[in-house]
Amino acid sequence: MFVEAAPVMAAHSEDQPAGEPHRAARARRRLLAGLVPYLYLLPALAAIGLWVYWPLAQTFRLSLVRWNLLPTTSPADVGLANYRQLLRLPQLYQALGTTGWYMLGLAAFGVALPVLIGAVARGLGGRAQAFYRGVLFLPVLVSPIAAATLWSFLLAPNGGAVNSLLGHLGVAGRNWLFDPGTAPGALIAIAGWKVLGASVLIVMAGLAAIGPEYYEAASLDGAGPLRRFAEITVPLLSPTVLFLVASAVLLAEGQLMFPLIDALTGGGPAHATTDVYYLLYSFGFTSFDVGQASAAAVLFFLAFALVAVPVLALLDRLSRNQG
Amino acid sequence: MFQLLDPAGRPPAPAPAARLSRPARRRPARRSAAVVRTTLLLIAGALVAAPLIWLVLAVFRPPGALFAQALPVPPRLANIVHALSALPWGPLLAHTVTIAACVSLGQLLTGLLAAYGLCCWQFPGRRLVLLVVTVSWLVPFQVTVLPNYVLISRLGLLNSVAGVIVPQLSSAFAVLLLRQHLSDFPAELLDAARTDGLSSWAILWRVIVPNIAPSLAALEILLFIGAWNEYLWPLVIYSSPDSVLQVGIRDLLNVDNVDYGALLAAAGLATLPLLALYLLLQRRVVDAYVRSGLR
Repeated sequence: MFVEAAPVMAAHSEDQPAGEPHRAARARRRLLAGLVPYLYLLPALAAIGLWVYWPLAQTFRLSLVRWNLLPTTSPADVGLANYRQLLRLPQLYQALGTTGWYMLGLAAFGVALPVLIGAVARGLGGRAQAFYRGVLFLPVLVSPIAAATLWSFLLAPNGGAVNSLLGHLGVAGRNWLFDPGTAPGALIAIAGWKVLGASVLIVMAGLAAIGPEYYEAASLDGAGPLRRFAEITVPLLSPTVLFLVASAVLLAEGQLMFPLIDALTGGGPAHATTDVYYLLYSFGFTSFDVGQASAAAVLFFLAFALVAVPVLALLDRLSRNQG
Repeated sequence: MFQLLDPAGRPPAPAPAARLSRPARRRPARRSAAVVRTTLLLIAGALVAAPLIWLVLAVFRPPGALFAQALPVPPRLANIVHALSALPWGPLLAHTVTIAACVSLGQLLTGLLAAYGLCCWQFPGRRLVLLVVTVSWLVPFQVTVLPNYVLISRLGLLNSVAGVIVPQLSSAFAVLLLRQHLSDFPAELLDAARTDGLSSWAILWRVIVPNIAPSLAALEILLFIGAWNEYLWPLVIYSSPDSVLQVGIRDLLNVDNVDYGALLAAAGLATLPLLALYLLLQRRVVDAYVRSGLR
């Protein structure tokens, strides 16, 4: 196509000496044409810049001040004092540990189990699959707050469905959400219920995109189910798995656990369910300590980036290899 | 193993001996695999569905017997009546609908324009733009919430619907999803439109949008669900008993003597509009959602 276009352009440039203004006009038009994609990108990029990157920079700046959010007072520079104070708080380390458990739990419910279920469900056909997909998608519709409501009813210590079910099995019931030993696990289970079905759907789609001919060829080659899983499913499914790690673990830790904690436990009992995001939220909007909250935000963001950047880089590389 | 594929991508036909012996050897294994598969699927499906079924049953029980285990026959509406009087539904619904509609449509529009720019042009900085968008997808909102709050309060938008809407008008998730939809768009159609002399703006609205309208509708529903269910930002920026549904329901949960009947009914009622939207375009919504995982 470009080869054909070249002579046409050459013919044009032979006409060129006739008009100098034409060349300027054409250059201007070419410049404008070059701007077109940027114009389409402008609204989204401006919004992302103003509401994500600019606040991110502000967070760094606010981590070096003391301020109580009141518009009548102004922030006072305190250097690294907020960080020093933060690192001395035992709550910080407890919250980091809790966050680690939440992420492990989300990885189990949002990645590992869905891969297992999806791999087994492979080949479910027709109408059964459509119905099954419809059921699995339902928790996506249920807001985290509605899920918290529903589960606080199911987990109620006296007469709740979970305890009566356990009673039938001869297991003693617990006060799940008010016992420091069980509350974090209960929150993980609720979050797990929210992410499980959706993740299974994503895994099933990822598996469906792998052509059956790979499996047929491998079977003919004498590869057993385990070898087929390890040598076909794992490599070809890894972009999907990484996407789930990003959305069902990294994103869900912030977006899903927060409303559950806020609605069900308020971070307690005895700070047992406070994760890093809830901690920095309470610094900011309960204690109105902007400096402390921002210092915590910076620390958590850097720690988060340490995990998220490799995931994103790998995701990018895998999707480019296959796309 | 891949060398076994013939040029058409099909595996070669098995040798006659294998064809005779294999099915006979495999049948019992295959049947037990089917049993395992069905069992596992049923368990997963039941785990997901059971709490929702329990919710529906509880809502129709008499308020004094919420924890009963029999079927609620005849169904009682007392819990729903209590829920209707426990919350200021008028303002809550008006605010929530306005916010969800504006946010989702804004995200769809900015996302569509950005995805169009990313998909249909090669330009300097394209990879950088993609990186900037993708990274913003993963920046935890809690990290930027304080400066956002300060900015909104300086703009005088605290405790307003506009304050909730404005910062959410663009979403990296929408850009990335739409980019995937557009990258599958047949290039021949675009080339034909260009040859016809259509401007890029006309191509977007007269060629692309009509062709992907069903996917756009499904995405709009997904974004609407996300905005409807958003909790942290409305809580921070507009925390009053009549702000949005999610905040209102949370207030019912955080009292000393929780009226579970009314609470469950309220949670159910707040989910019904989403269920209705979802049922409109069920298959497409699930497809659009699931595609986010296909890279």
